[in-house]
Amino acid sequence: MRTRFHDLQQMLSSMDALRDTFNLLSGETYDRLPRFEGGWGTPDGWPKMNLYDTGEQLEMRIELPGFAREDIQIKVQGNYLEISGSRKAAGPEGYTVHRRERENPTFTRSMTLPIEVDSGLASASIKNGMLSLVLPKSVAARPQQITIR
Amino acid sequence: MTQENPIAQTEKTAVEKPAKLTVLIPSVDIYENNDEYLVYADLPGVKKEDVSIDLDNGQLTLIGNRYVEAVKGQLMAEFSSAQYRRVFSVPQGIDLARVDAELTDGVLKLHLPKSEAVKPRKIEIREG
Repeated sequence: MRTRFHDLQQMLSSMDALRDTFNLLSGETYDRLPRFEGGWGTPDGWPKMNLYDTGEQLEMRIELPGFAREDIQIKVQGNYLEISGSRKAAGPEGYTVHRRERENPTFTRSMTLPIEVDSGLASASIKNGMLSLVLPKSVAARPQQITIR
Repeated sequence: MTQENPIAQTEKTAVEKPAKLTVLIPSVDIYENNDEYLVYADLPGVKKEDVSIDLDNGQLTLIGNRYVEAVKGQLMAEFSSAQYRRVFSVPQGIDLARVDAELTDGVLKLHLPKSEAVKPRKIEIREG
């Protein structure tokens, strides 16, 4: 049996859906109550990511606050992507802890990309705790213009 | 006779552009030692110029706006532009002039030094 934190969130998600409907109807935002999802990562403890297809390449943005360049490993092979990392112990020395909500997560998130990419040309950069990943599509997967004779 | 006489009008543009950003609660750590309080807050993707910290009437308001630029061909989105906001009650005896904040790797570190009056002090006993 799987008991997870997001079972609770699923229960609350219908409220979110209702609120979204009101937002759509009125054109205003009723998000005066902050959402439940402000913390790090998804309910499963993975970093949140956005994926875009810009034609020639796939682009990803991944939230990784407090991660330095050397804390993150990225593996790409064909259409398989795996990102893992661990954040260094965040707390300073010699302080009393009043509140600790930020975890020191060690995570591995893997996914199947919709398109095969050329792992040799992939590049990544991190700024302000946001990882940008550029994955050029493999030649076979790129859109080809066909000229009519 | 093709005059349009709509019963109700909706502004379509308003739907696509919500006036306010979604408010998210950032995760924070709060530490204390003899000299200061130290707050760490996770603000992924927030730029330095989009952070505002206001101390007013014993309330510390921390706001960080994160803007995710629109890229065409979105296949999956787990986050979007948002406002990280959190309000703390700050105890008395903070030296406002020396409050200091730094933002590195999407983590805000906020130093709130205690004023001299509230620091623990050892009292020497004189020979009578």
